Amino acid sequence: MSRIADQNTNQDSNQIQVRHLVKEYKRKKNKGNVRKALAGMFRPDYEVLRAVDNISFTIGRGEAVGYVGPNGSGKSTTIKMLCGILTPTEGGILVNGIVPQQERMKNNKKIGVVFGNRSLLWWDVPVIESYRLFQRLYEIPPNRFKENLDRFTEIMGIGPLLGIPERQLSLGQKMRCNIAAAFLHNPEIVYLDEPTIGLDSESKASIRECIRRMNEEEKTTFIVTSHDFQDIETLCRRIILINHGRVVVDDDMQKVKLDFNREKRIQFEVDSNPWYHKGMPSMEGVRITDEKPHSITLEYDVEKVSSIHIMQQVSKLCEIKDVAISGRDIEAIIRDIIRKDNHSI
Amino acid sequence: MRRLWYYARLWKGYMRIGLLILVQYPADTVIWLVSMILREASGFLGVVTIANVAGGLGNWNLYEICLLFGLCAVVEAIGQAFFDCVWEISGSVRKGTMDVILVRPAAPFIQLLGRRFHYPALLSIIIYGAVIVWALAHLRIAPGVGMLLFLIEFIVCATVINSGIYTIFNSFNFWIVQGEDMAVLVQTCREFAKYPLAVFPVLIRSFFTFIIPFGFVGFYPAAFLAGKAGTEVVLTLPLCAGAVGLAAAFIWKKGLGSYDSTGT
Repeated sequence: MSRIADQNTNQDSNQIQVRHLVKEYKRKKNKGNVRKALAGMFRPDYEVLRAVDNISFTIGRGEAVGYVGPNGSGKSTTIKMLCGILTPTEGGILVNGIVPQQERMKNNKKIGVVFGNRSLLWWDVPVIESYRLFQRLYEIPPNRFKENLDRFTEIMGIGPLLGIPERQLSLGQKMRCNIAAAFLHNPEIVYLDEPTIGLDSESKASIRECIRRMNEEEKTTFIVTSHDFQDIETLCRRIILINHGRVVVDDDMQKVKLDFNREKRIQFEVDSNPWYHKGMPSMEGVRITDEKPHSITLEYDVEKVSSIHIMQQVSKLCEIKDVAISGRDIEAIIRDIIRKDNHSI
Repeated sequence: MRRLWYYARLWKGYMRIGLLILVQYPADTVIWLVSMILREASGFLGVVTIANVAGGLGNWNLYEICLLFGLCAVVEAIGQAFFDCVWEISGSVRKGTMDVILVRPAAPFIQLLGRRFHYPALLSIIIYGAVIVWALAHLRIAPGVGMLLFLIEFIVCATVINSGIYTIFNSFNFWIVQGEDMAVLVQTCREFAKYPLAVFPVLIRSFFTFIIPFGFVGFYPAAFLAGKAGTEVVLTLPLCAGAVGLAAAFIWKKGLGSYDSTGT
């Protein structure tokens, strides 16, 4: 299902090309007892972990791509290879026509990176001092620096924070300062690894707004990994889903929703749940996703069973107080795809 | 040339940040300074006491030993002022913070060094400089252009050797997590370099000349200044610095290539 890079198209539509990418980690085997662990100090026993397994895709200039998957699926590993931090075991990466690992510094000038769990600023000094150092690092001309500083200070609302050392900032403030830092040098590509992890909804909103604006106004390319599907849904038109290091879906967000949204969710509020702790008799195309003493949540395939039929079945056994029917959000869709993929392995 | 200008500007930026940190934590700075002086002085006092009682070590008298000590200590202080961050390789690899350095458009090694400066070490450089001058005066070695040039050569080459060796052993952390212990072992071995190597058996002497050349950080240059060694020191010093420098650059590069980051 992955889009294989077309070698003949020009660089503009193929800003990032990833071909048959593989990354393996060597990991010492856990021995279980101390005696074996001591023996392992001298004759280590390695097992090979394939974190990224033959991934290929291309991303064009100005695209915003959501790179999603469960924990340990290889998202961060891929991002780190794209930035040039890690060297691939096999396969190739071209970013703006260069190999990031070979010409790392040249590549770094054109990219911005935000790690949700790792700050890029200096811990002990006021934020503005970190920015001034970035000006030197990226050789940003003074006029442009001032312009960008004013612009992102305003977008991210960090004006009052510039004089405060990073260690005294809250998590959300820190993250906003980091995002602004990633844009100071007008990067062509920005990689965001879990940018909203642990943030409140207001901080999330301002970060999303910033990214959306930069994508529209500057045609900046974005690759976002996130567990927050609202991030992905508001920011990205395209989604690449990986599981066990392999691409499972690489498609337009709207199309994924249509293709996989055959299922709906129905939620009942009832006087007492007849199946609580007993299990529900199986009904074709229906699955219980959540049950509490006074509520039942079911997911069902609209082509196999109708909501009326389900309601009739439930109303026979208890008194329904309220009903809500909803299409599933992208999160539920992704969960379903992952579950199917895990089964097929 | 443009690259050089870029790094000069960058270095200035790092020094500015370093200064700001220094002002942020004044107590930390004072404690650091005291501990550094105590550490160097304690070793020195031991040697001086022994030399005083025994009337010297081998054919080295008290002032010659002071000269040797001064040379060693100045180089170590320069290393602590500007190259101390090579000791942070271990932590950066273990915690994965090397990532931050690798996404920026400047040489990773320069960025690593720029993380922190120990300005207080500049004060120790002055103190040990004074020890050297004092020892030279007592040894009645006449100052001249030749000696000044040699001292400059010494400072540059010995700093490369000293910090290069630390870089090599700290870079092993890229392959063995927690390899810092080995680097600490090497630093402990360096204690030998504060003594005139001539008093040790050939085995130890060869080890600090050919394997881990700490001999060039103090013993050989001091022997040259004191007239106990010939001009071969003037020639071998840059050769040794070149070899150590190249080896350090090679191992650092190799290490970065096999850097695996951490799960996030």
